Amino acid sequence: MIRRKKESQKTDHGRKEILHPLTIRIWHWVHAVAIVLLVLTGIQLRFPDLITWFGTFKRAVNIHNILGFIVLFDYLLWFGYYAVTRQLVRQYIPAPEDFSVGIPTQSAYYFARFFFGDPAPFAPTPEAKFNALQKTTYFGIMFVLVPLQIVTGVLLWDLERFHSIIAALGGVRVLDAFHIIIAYVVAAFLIMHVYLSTLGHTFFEHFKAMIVGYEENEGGHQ
Amino acid sequence: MIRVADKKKRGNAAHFFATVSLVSLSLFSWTGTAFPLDNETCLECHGTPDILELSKEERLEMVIPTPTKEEVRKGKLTLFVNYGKFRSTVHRELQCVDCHTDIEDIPHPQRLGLVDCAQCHEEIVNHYDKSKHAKVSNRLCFECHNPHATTSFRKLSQKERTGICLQCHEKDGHRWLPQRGLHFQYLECTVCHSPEAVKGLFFHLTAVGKNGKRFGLDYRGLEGSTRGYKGDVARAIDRNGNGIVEVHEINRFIAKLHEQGIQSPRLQEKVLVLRPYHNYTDEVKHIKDCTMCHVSDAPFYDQVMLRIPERQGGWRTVKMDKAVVGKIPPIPSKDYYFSTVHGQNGVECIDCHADLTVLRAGEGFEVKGLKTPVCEHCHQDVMAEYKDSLHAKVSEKICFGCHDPHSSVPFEELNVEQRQAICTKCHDPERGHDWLPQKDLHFKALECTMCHAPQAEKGIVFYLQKVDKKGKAERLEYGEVAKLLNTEKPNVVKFLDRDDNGFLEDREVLSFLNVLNEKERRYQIELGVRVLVLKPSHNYTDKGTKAKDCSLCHSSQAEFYSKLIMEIPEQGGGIRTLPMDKSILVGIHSIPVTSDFYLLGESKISRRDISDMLFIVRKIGYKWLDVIGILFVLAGLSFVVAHWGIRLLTIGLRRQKRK
Repeated sequence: MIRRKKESQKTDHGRKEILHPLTIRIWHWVHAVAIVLLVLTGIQLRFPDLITWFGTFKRAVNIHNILGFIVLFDYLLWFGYYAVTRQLVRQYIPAPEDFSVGIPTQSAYYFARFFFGDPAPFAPTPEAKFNALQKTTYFGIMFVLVPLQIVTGVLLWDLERFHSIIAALGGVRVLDAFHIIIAYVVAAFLIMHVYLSTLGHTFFEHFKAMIVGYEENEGGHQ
Repeated sequence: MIRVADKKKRGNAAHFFATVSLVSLSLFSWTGTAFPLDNETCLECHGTPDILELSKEERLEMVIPTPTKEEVRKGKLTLFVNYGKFRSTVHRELQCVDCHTDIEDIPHPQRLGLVDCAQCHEEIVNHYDKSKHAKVSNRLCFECHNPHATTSFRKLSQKERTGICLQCHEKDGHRWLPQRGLHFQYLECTVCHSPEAVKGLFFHLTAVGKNGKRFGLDYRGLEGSTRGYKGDVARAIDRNGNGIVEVHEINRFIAKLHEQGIQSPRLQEKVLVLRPYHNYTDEVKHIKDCTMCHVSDAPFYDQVMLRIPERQGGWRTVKMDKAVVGKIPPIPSKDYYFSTVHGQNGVECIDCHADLTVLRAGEGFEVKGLKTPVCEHCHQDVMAEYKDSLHAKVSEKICFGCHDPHSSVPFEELNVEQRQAICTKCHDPERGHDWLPQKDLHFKALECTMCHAPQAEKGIVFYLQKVDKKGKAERLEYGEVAKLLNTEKPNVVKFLDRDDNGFLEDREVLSFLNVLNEKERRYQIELGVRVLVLKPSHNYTDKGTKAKDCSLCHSSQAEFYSKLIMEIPEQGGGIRTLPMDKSILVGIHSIPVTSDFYLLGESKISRRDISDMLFIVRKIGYKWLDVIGILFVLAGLSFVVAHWGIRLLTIGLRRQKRK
C-alpha cells in the first residue's frame, strides 16, 4: 500500500539529491512520536480500567491534550511548507490515471511481484515523491483524517467552552465516535506504514532516508 | 326598703337602719305576713356590701363551717351579691331561691344548705365528682366559679379562662414543657388538663401596632370596617349571612381592614376549649402526651371558629370554613412535621425526646429541660458509621449540626442543590476544588457525597423530562403525562412496564417515549438522567486521595452502573421507582435519551464485557466503535504478518533473481 516517501536520486555528477528536506524530516519525526504517544495515551483514556501506562487517568488526559496541540502545530508546519513551496497539489492530489493504472500496478507489485524480486514500478523523485497508492492514502490521511481528528480533538478538549458548537454537531457522542474511529484508522495505518517502509532495497533503507534525507541505492523502492 | 346608697353617709345611722330592718323583717314573719321570695327581697340585705353591718365573725356564723375555705378563713366572706354584675351573668334569669332551695321564709335561717348545682348542671357535676380535682381538692363548684358573676363560657377570653385555674394553681410547673411560653400564649389550661373537652381552633383578627408588635384587634379596631352593617362585625364579615365565614369572605374583610389603614391585618389562631368537660386531671399519662395536639388529625381541626369582638364587650364565635386552615397560614409545625421524613414514618415527639417517654411511663419526672434527643436509638447504623469518621472527629458535629430533624425531607426527595446545601452550610465548595477538571459541570450535576463518601451507594436515576427548542429541560409531572397518554388517571407504571415484570427493558421505555412524543408538539420528551447517591454513607473522607480518583466514576466499572432506576410520576405527586435495563445507556437510539451522559465512560469496552460475549453481542451499542476500530487494527496487523510471512518464504526467489 504505502511506502516511505524517500528515495534519493543521484544526479549526473553522482551527488545525492535530497529527497526529504530538513523541514519535512523534522515534521515527520515530531509527528511520528506524537501520534504514537497519542495512540498510547488514547488507549488508556479509552480503557481506564484495563490500562494504566501513563499513571493516573488525569495524567493521561493532560499528556494527550499536550500532544494533541503539538500535532496541531506540526500539521500547520507541514501544510505551510508544502503550500509555500507549491507542492501540495503535485505531491498529494491523485490524478485520474493514478486510479486507473497506478493503484492496480502498485497493488500487484506489493501483493505478488515484490515476492519474485521484480523491480518497483515507481521511482520517486523530489518532484514526484509518492506512488499512486501512497498519494491516495496520504491524501486521505493528511487532508481528511488528521484535520478531522484535530478539530474533534480540540472540541473535546474543552466541552464547556465549545458546548454550543458540539451541540450543533450532534453532541459529544457523535464527536467522540468520529475521534475514536479515526484514531483506530490512524493506528491501523501506522502499523502498515511502518511495515511497508521496510520494503526498500534493504530493510532500513527508507528509515535512513527519512533521517538523512537521501537514499544510498538507486531506484529500489516499492 | 332601705337602701344604703353611699358608704360615706353611713356613719352611726347605719346601725340604726340595720336594726330597724331586722326588726321589721321579724315583725313581718311574726305577723305571718310573708315577704315575697323574689330577688328584690333577697337584695334588701344581700345587695349591700356591708350586709346589715355584720362583722366578720357574725358572717362566719351564718354559713356552714368550711374551715378549709380560704375565703372564709381570711375573713373575706361577704355574703354580698353585686346585682348589677349579676344581671349580666348567665344566671340572670334565675331567682335566688331557684338555687338556694332551702329558703322557704324570709328571714331565712342561718347556715343554709349547700346549693346543689346538679339541679341544672347534672352532667357537669357528675363528671366533676369523678375527677381527681374533686377527690384531691374537695373543691366545690362555686370555689372556682362565682355563680353570681359568671358570664357565658364562650364569652370568656383566654385570659379569663386561665384565670379561673390560676385562682389556686400556679403556672410555675410545666418546666418539662417545650416552648412553655408559646403554649401559655396560645392555649388555655383545660386544653391539656381536660382531655375530654371539645376543643376548637379559634381564629381572631390581629394587626401590627406602632411598636411593631402584633396585637389582637378589638371592637374599636374593627368598627371602621362595619359601615353599612350597623356596626355589626359578624355581619360585615359573613356577608352572605349563612353563619359560616368562608375563605373569600374573610379574605375580603382583611383586605378591607388593610384599606382602612390597619397595618398587616391577619388571622391568628388559638386552640381553645369549645365545650368544657369537668373531669380534670394532671395524670402524666394524659397530659404529657404531645400527640394529643401535635398531630395533623388533632380533634380541634374539626372545629374551626372565628372569634369576633362585640360592641358591648365580650366575644362572639362564628363557624368558619375549614378550608381556611389550609389557606391562611400558618398552623405551625404540626402539619409540616408530618411531611418530614420523621413524620411520614410515624415518629412522634416522645420517640426522640426520650425524657418524655419516661414521663409517660409515670416513672417520675425531674427534668429541668429537655435533654438532647438521641438519634442513635433509630439510626444505629448511621451513627456507628459516622462516629469514627473523620468528620465526626474533626468537626465534633452531631446529627443536628447538619440535619434539622423537624424539617428533614426524605433523602430521595432532595435534589442535588438541596443535598449540596447540607454540606455548604459549613464548607465552601470553591475551596480545594481547583484541581478538578470541569469543576462547574461537576458541581452542577453531582452532590458532594458522590466523591466524598466513597462507600455511599450510588445509582443512575432516570426521569421523564420535556425539552423545549432552546434546550431548557423540565421534569414531566403526572398531569402532563396523563394528558399525553390521553387517559384519565392512567397507571403510568403499567403503560411503561408492558410485560409487567417489574423491570424496564429499553424497548419498553423507548416505545413509551415514542407514544408521548407523538402527542407532544412543542417539546421533545426524553429521559433526564442523574447520577445520585441512593443510600448515603456517613463516613466522609476529607480532601484525601480517594476523592480525587476520577475512575471512581469515569470508568465502565463505576459502581453506579449496577443500579439503574426510573422514576415514574404517580397520581397525587408521588413517585414510583422501577429498576431499569442497562442497555438504555449504551444502545443507539433514534430518540436522544441520554444526550449528555456520554462523558462517564459507559460506552467503552471493559473487562467484564470481554467475559460476557453474549452481552456484548446483544447490547454493545456504541462499543461497536471499538470493535470496528480494533478490527481495523487487526486487519492491518494481519496484512503485515501475512506479507512478512510470504516475504520470508520467498527470500530464495528474490536472491535467485538478483543473481
